[in-house]
Amino acid sequence: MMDMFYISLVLFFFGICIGYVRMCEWLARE
Amino acid sequence: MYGWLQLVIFLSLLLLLTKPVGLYLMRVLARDGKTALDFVIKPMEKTFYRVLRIDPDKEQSWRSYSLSVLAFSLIGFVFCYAILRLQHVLPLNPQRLGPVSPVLAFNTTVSFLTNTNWQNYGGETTLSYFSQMVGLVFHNFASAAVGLAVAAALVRGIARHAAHAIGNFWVDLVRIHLYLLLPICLILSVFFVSQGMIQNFQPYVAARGLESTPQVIPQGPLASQAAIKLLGTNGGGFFNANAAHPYENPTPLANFIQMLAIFLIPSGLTYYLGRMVNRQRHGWAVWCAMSLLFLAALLLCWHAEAVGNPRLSALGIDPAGNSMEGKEVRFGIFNSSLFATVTTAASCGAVNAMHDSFTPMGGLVLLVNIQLGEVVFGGVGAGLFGMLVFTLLAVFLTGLMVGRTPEYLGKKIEPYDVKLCVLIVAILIFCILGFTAWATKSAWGKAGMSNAGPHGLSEALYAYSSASGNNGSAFAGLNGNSSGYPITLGLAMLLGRFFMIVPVLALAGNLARKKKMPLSEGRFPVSGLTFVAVLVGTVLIVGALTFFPVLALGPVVEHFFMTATNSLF
Repeated sequence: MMDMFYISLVLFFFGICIGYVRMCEWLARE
Repeated sequence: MYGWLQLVIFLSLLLLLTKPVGLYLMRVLARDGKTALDFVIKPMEKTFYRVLRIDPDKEQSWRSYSLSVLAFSLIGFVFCYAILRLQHVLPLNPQRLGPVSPVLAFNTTVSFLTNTNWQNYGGETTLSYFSQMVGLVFHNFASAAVGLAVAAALVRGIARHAAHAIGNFWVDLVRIHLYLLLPICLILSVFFVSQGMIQNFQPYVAARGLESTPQVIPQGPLASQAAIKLLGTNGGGFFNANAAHPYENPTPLANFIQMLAIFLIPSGLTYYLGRMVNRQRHGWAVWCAMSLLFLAALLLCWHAEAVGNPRLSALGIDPAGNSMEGKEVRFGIFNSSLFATVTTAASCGAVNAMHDSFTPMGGLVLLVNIQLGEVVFGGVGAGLFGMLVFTLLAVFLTGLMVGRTPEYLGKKIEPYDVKLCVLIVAILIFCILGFTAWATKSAWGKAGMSNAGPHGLSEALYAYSSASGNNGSAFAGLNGNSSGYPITLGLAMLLGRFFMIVPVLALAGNLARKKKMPLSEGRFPVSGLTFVAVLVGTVLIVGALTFFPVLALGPVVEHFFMTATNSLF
């Protein structure tokens, strides 16, 4: 159970990182 | 006297090695670069490309490069986490150690994934040989290679003209491993074994000391892990005492070579920068700025430790001995100060003395080294890209002062570049100050501190500085396993690593796309004394202005308590 929590936490973080890549692209257009 | 002599030898050797290492990096980081090892390694390299289905001729945009870094890191996390959780059923576990708990496996895996190597565990009591040499060492190599690849991508971005690609991450990863890290680590490991470092798979040895006290002497494949720990500026010790352990740092020569190994690649990268942008004087100027900052930090730390506690000196205790608590007698004041300065300047985190025992001013120097972004040679790759961000900020600030469009090596610095630089600097500040504030205000944060008052604040500040800066050393008075620390430290490490790498790659992509213009007359020179002074000033002002208030409440107050009142800390 706790394993799933920590793996999900890291997956969530890397999901945010992909959003962060898109934010950097968006900054270029601003 | 011996300290000064050793310092001169250390810096001279570093200077001498900078050019050959830089030239070798040129070959390794070029897709078609030729090296003397080609006849052995080229077939292996081609096999990797074939098996992993990599087209070495196809380069990536910054976006694709970033996504590759993220995908590789995510897979690396799952791989190492699984090993730590399953170590009890995996081989090479003669001590029959049980599985690592989920929270510790999370913290440890994130720590090694991000090149931090913060250790909430004691290696000899928690991890099997398999976990250390497959799970952790994998990340020791891979995280160093990722940092170096990102730095190379940024340098390519600066060097290229109207290009859309910044290299191929997978090619960089394979070449850095095969041509750079593995061969040097092989040589270093054999050298360390010659000095007395152990390298075996034996069970721990039961022995009796001179007073017939029973003790257990841990064994293991140490030399191979120590080599990459230093060369890759990882810092995670095989043993809990890290490089203070006699096996992990057996002789004065081994100690000296360990420090040199930490700075070897970061120093060579400055020469690589100069070569790539066809401005060798620029590369040397960056090296000089790093060296000046390093020397200033070392002299301050050394002085603070040599003077020691004045109240103990007043009692007639030799100043050279009264700050020896937490230091190895074998290394003494100078070698402890030098190692501590090197390891915090370079994002390494290996220690041969306990930083928590340093005097308040000595500890402050180590904190500042990390908080400046570890750009003083810095981590493998991370130091150079951090310093290049400060270089762009310095060029931008001087451009504002003289009213000209900022220009760096023939490329205009535009608002988007500056936004990215500020984002990179701000992430570190946000993580360090934000998490420290949270810990010092919360019950779980206070429960983990073993000291009250300013030193307690310094402990928490050091922990989040170390995690966010991906350093890994600690003021060990803080209990990092207490309640909220493992998760918040893990998050600080992830944010400090990947939220920096992504904008650095975006910066690389944006710089690569720009056309190079002929150098104009009134441009700000990026070599020479003026540039070095402005760069050092920018690094110090950004660091000092941001962190001075919290440092004033922590180590500075502690220093005045030590010298000016009757309170004892």
